[in-house]
Amino acid sequence: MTSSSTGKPDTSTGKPGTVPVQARPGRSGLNRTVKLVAGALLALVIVWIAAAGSNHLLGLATVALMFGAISGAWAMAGGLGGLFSLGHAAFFGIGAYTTAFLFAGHGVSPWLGMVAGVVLAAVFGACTTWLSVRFRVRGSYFALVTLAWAEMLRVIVSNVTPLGRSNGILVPYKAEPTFADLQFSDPRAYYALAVLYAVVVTVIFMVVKRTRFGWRLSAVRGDEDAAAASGVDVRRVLVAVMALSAAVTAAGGTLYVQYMQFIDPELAFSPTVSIDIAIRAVIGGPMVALGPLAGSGAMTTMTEWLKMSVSDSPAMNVLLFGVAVILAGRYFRNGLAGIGASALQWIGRRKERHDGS
Amino acid sequence: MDWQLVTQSLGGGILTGSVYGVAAVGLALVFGVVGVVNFAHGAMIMLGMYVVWYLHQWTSLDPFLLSLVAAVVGLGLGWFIQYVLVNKVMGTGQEGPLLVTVGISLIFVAVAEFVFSSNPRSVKPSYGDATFSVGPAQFSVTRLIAMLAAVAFTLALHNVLRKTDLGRSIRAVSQNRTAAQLMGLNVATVYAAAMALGAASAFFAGGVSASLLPVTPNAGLSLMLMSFVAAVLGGLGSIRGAFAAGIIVGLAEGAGALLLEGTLKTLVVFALFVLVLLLRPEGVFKR
Repeated sequence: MTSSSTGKPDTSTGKPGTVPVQARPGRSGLNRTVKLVAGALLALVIVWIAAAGSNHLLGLATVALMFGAISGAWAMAGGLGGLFSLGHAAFFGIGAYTTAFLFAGHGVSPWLGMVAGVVLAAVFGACTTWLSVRFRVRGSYFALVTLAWAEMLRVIVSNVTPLGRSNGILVPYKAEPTFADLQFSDPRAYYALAVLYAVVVTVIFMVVKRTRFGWRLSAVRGDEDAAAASGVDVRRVLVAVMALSAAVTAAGGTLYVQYMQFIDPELAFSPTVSIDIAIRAVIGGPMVALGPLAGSGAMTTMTEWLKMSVSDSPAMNVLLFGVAVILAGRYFRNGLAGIGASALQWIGRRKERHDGS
Repeated sequence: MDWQLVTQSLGGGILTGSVYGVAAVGLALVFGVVGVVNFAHGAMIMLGMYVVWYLHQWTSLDPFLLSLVAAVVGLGLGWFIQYVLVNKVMGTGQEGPLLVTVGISLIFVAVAEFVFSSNPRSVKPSYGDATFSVGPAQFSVTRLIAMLAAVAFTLALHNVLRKTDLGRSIRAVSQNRTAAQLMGLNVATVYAAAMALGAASAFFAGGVSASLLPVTPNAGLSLMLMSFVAAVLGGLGSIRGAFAAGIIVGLAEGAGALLLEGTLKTLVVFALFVLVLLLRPEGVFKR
C-alpha cells in the first residue's frame, strides 16, 4: 500500500522514510495504540458476555452487535461515501424477507436465502442510487429519496399475500435444527454468528477505507467536481459503494430474521429502522471502522440502564437517540470516535509540554 | 367507471389535499428562507394534533378554533428550536441541520409517548356526523371546514409575508442573504422567525387533522411525507405553489385509491415524489 503523496516527485529531501507527519494523519504511534486498546477492550467485553452473560444479556448483545454491524454497513455509504441514507431499512428488509419467504414457504436454506437477499438488495441499492446520482440528488434530498424508496417497499410488501401482507412471516423453528437451517438451540451460537458478522463487516469497512476505492470515495466526498476532473468516475464509485453497503446490510437482515424468527413490514421497512441504523453509526463515528459498533453498544447499554433505573417505557430509547443525535450534530460530528480522538490530542499536547519542559 | 366513486375519491382528494397543502407551506417556507429540510416537521404536526386533542378534552371548544392556539404554541416552539439549536449548526453543510432536526423529531415523538401513551385518541367536533353531498358523492362537513381553515390559514400567512415588515425581511433573506445582512437585517432572527411561522403552520395542520385522523405519536410521519412531496412539487420556497401542490398530492392519492386497493394508494404519491425529486433539479436541488 502506498500513500498518495509518494506519487509526486519530492526531491527536496533525499532521505527516504521522512514523510511529513501531517501527510499521514491517524498514523501516529499514539493513535494506533489507542485503536488497538479500544479493539482489545471491545473483544474482551464480547468474550466476557459469551462466557459469563445471562441469556438476557446475551440477547441484548446479539441484537446490539447485529445492528452495530448493519450500522457499519450504513457507514460505508453514509460515512465514507457521503451518501446520507434514511432508507437502509429497504436493504435490511429485503434480506430478512427474502430469507423468511424462501425458508418458511419453500424450505430453502437461509444460507441460500442470504445470497439471494444480498444480490437483490445490491441490485436495488445500485439502481436507486444510480437514479439519484444521475439526477444529482444529494444531501437532504438524497435522504428523502431513500426514505421514499423504503416506504414504497413497506407499502408493497404490506399488500402482497405470499409475503403475509401486514401480518408478516413467521419463521418455523425446526425441532432439531441443522447448520443448514441457520437455527440453533444454544443462544451462544447466534451470539457467535453476530460476532462473526460484526468482524466481517469491520474488515470490509477497513478494506474499503484503505484501498484505492476508499481514496476515490474520499475524493468524491470532498469535492465531486474536482474528483471528476481528476479522472474519478463519480457515478460508478457512488453506485458501487451503495451496492456494497446494501449487500452487507441485507446479510444482517437474514441473521436478524433467523434470530427473531419473525418479520413484518413495520419491523423490516419502517422509517424507524432506517433512522436507528443511521443513528448508531452517527453516534459512534461514521468514518471509523469500530465507530458504529461502539455507538451501537453505547446506545444499547444506555437504553438498558435507563430502563432499569428511570422508566421502562419503550419511548426511553427514542428519547435517548434523539438527544444523542442532536449532540452529535451540534458538537461531535465524528461521534464517540471523534471524542476519543480529541481527548487523545489533548493528552498528547500535555505530554509534549511535559517532555519539553 | 363508476361516477359516484370517482367524485367521491377526487373530491375527498381535494379536501385532504388542502391539509397537506397547509403543512407543505410551512416546510416550503423554512426551506426557502433557512435552506434547511426540516425533518422535525412531522413531529410538529403530531404535537399540534395533541395540543388540540388535549384542549378539546379540557374546554370542549371547537377543534378548528383550538388549532389557532396550537399554531401559537408552534410559533414559540419553532422560534426556540431555530434560535437555540438549528442556528448553531448552520453553514456546516446539510448534515448538521439534518441530524439536529431528526433528533428533535425523535425527542418530540418520545415525549408524546411518555405524556399521552401510544393509545390512539380522537377528536370529534359537535357537527361530526353532519354530511353534505356534491352530485352523487357525500362528504363530512368536518372535512369541508378543515379545508376552509387550511385555505384561511394559508392566505393569512401569505399576507403576513407580503404586507408586514417581518414578511419583507423574511423574503429579503430568502432572495439574497448577504445583501439582506448588509442592509442591517439580523439573519439569525429572521431564520428564527421563518422557522416559527413554519412550525406554526405544521401545528395548525396537525390541529386541523386531529378531527380527521387518529391521534398517535407516530401520526405525523405520513403527513410529513405527503407535505414533503407537496413542498418539492411546489418548487420549495413558494407558498402558493406548495399549497396548490398539496391539493395535487391529495388528488393523486384519490386517484390512487381508485386504481389500487387499500394502502397501495400511497404508492402513487411516493412514485410522484421520486419522479419530482429526480426530474425537477432546478430550484429543487441547487440553491
